[in-house]
Amino acid sequence: MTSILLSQQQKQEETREEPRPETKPATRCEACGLGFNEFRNKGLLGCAECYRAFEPALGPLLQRSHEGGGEHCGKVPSRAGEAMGRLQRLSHLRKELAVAVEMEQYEEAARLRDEIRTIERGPGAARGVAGDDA
Amino acid sequence: MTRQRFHDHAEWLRGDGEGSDVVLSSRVRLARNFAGFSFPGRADSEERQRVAELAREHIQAIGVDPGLVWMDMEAIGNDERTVLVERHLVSTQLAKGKGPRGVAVSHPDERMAIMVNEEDHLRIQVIRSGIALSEAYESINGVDDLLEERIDYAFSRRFGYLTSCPTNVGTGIRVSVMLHLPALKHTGEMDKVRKASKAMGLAVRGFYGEGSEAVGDFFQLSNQTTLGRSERDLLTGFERDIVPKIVEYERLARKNLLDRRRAFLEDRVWRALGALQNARLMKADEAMEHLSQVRLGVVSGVLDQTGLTAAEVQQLLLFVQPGHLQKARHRTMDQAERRLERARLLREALGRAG
Repeated sequence: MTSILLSQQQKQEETREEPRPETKPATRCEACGLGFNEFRNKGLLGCAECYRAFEPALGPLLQRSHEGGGEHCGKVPSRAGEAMGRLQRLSHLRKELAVAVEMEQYEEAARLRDEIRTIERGPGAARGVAGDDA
Repeated sequence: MTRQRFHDHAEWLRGDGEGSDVVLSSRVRLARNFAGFSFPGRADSEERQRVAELAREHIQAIGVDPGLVWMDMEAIGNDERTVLVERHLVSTQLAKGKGPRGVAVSHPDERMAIMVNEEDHLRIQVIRSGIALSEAYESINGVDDLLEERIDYAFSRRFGYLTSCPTNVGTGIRVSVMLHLPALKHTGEMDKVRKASKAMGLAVRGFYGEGSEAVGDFFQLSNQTTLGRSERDLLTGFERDIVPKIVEYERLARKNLLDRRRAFLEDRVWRALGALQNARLMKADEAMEHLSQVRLGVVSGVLDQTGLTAAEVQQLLLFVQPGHLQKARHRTMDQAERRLERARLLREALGRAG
């Protein structure tokens, strides 16, 4: 039974791993209104959100123009680092939660859910909880 | 020789530092944008004004030493903007642009300049004399940290620092060195340098950067890749491998000229000095070509008896530019007048006033 569940889980993981190629590139950035064709003509993006909106098309483009380096490697703003650390922890916990639910480990699932909610509330809330524990 | 002294305090004119016989200056710049605002090219005047005000406030609050002086591009005249471009403190794009924009310059050393509302909200640059990229990076990184404590930068995990042009995304860093390569140019080996640089993903540009011709054997070498490579990695490549190698080639080419073709070299250098000391009309590019030869003469010892220094020659490189010439004469001049005044200024500076 467990092995069936696990293989099921793996299948889900696999399908979850590759949503990018299926995502159609947006033709317009909703935040600033820049059209993809306008970007093509001018070579300039309109705002930070354009990177998200045009990500499927930008990814390969950037990989070519930066000689194969498609992912950032270098300085990370320290506060963005905190935020990113939180985001990474969140996505990890969400995966664990999905597995725990699948495995019917309800106590573990409840604990994970609490932890996720705390993190979702932000850094201030997390500090508050730590204070309560002390 | 009677010479009138022209003095200027710009960092890249100092003519000292490691490898300064070949490397005039090292420069690092970072492109940064504020989260939650459109990039300058997309923002309307009101949004740009808000960014300019915020930037100015934060820049003034970080308290660097020496202090940064703010210059509003809309408030100063065209001649003053030209002077800033010639001093490598702002880009032509910022000078000629429209709308709220400005620059904060460290005064009086001019080692640091922060352009606001150019292609990105912030373009921070630090210049050092000679080969000093690590030092320049330490300085710029510190200021970036201070600004980041106060500003939410546009940043993504996958793409790094988000910039208006995707060719700057990632680290947003541009590392460059200003090289004086008259011997390699003379021996025809510049093509090799260009090819090798291109193969390493580097761009070779002229004295005034993007789109400018390599006048007077001055070349700017800079990285083109900003995504997928760390700042440290890039700096190490420049400082340990690329720059020392080019410096070595240039020195070898100079030594060959001195050892095997000394009369030829001396003739070139002295003729160039003679032209600068005697001409009655002088174009800016022509002056730069001659000053390049004179600089080669100074650093290779051919002009020892004149007492000229590399710093003096570099100052003249700046003073022959149209904006500086006008500033020295306190008036706007047309091209013909500038040629006349440029020749006069050079005669005054190099000792054949008549």
